[in-house]
Amino acid sequence: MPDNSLWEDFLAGDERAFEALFRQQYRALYGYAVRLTSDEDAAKDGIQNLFQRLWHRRARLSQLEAAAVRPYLFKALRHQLANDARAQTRRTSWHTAYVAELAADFHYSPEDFLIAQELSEAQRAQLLLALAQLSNRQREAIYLKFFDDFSYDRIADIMGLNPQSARNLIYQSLQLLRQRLPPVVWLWLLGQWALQGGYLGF
Amino acid sequence: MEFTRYSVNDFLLDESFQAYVADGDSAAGLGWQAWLREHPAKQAEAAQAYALVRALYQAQRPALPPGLEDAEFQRLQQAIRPALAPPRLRSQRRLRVLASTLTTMVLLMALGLAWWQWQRPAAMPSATVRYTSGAGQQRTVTLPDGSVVVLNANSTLTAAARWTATSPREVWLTGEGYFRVTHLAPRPVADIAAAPAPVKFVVHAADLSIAVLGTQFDVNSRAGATKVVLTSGKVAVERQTLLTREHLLMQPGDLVETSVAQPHLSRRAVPSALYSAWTRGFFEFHQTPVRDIMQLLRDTYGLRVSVADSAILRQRVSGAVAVTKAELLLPALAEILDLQVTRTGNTVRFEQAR
Repeated sequence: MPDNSLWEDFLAGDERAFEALFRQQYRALYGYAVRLTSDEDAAKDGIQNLFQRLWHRRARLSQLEAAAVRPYLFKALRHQLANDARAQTRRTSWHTAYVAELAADFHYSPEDFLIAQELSEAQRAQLLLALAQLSNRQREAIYLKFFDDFSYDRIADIMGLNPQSARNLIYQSLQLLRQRLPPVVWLWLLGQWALQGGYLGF
Repeated sequence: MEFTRYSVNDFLLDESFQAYVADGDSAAGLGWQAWLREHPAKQAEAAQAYALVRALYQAQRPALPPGLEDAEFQRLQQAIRPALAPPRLRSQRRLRVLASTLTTMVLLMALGLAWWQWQRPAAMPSATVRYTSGAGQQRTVTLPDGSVVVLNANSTLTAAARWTATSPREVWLTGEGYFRVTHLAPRPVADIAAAPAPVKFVVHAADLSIAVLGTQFDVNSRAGATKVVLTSGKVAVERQTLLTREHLLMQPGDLVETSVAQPHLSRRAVPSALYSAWTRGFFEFHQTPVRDIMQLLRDTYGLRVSVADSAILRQRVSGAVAVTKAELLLPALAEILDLQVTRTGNTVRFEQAR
């Protein structure tokens, strides 16, 4: 409910609401942009350009319900980064034929994907290795699902897919991860299940 | 339910199952726990799916460089507010320099003050309600949000007199309490730090802040030491002193501790059920190593425990002991283990019975 009015207030030209929106979403957007571009400066500029555009075009933007704000911004940021990358290549390179390809080929970095909260260094490395073997799109979908906690429909919308394709993409990725994780990691992960003790109890 | 035909893949892809892994105490989590208890045949497949999803939920955002958000917001403000600068006379410019110097000074002072405020542990609200339990007495308190706190003997819980829907839920504890916090988040939140204030529940004990969304845990803050034991779900523990800030995300079965002697947060795995046994009035041991029980005597009763023979540590105990007071627990343990237990003041010694 508070978010909802935040978006409405921003559309009405309220600078404070705009600031609140920016601060509320910055961390998540920055994380997503850094992973997409593997370039902190490009990530910063992308978000900057996105918010400048949002402000100038606010009169033409539509109402959004609170839960739709973040997915909307993720999707818009994805477009913004692609545009920025395209403009960048146009400025710095003569090979305009490759432009479209380059802009589409985001490098989705698996580094720091996992933290050592529960995993040992070795297990973490093995999981990272398994994740690194996924395609960029597969990794992006997994990240949107399990880190940003988006539903299949939202992921489809952000990545420009239909919902069934988003599901399939995550299905394939999970299959690959299952196949590529060594048995040692599996045993350990299953041990965590026992510790968690959901139904096993103490 | 059609889940009886679920394969590992179906569990993996099911969004309510994912919500269960993210938070066992969410509505989906409780539903799945109950369902799995009734369908033991599906547990092996569910366990595989659970393990993988859990590992994936460990994903973390790349660190946000400090100050970046502020700097970027300023850049944004400058970009969207084009300066409408009319030509100025020299004297006006000098005045402006003076004004901006003054503004900078005031700003710096305000920043210093804000920093100082921010560094202090959260202040208690002006109007509070206080719940106290006397010696040898336990007390159950239900808070306005439906969360339940069981206070152990000689403990005090303080909370704001009025709870609103927009303020974070905060309580202050001295002594020991077992918390069952009601979950208010509409959907699983992976990142407690980033969760909106109203869905958070924060317990302040000594210099620790314990932030949760909805889960069960024990907090014991006595005699210069504070311990947190997590039964289920997720807990973010933060230790804050004048200049330092430590942060730790607990997992079920973790005990996190800070004391005057060892102020840095330390973490170890414990059988969490033993640490909440006092709320139920009895201990239940399932092949529990004596080592764990001795650790418990140190952690919750502040006893110094020693053994004559390290073989004793490896002995295992099964069965229930219908007491939780140390005076009664020690003879009961002696009988089960067939050991001789001698207590001198705060020191307890376990020896082979002759």
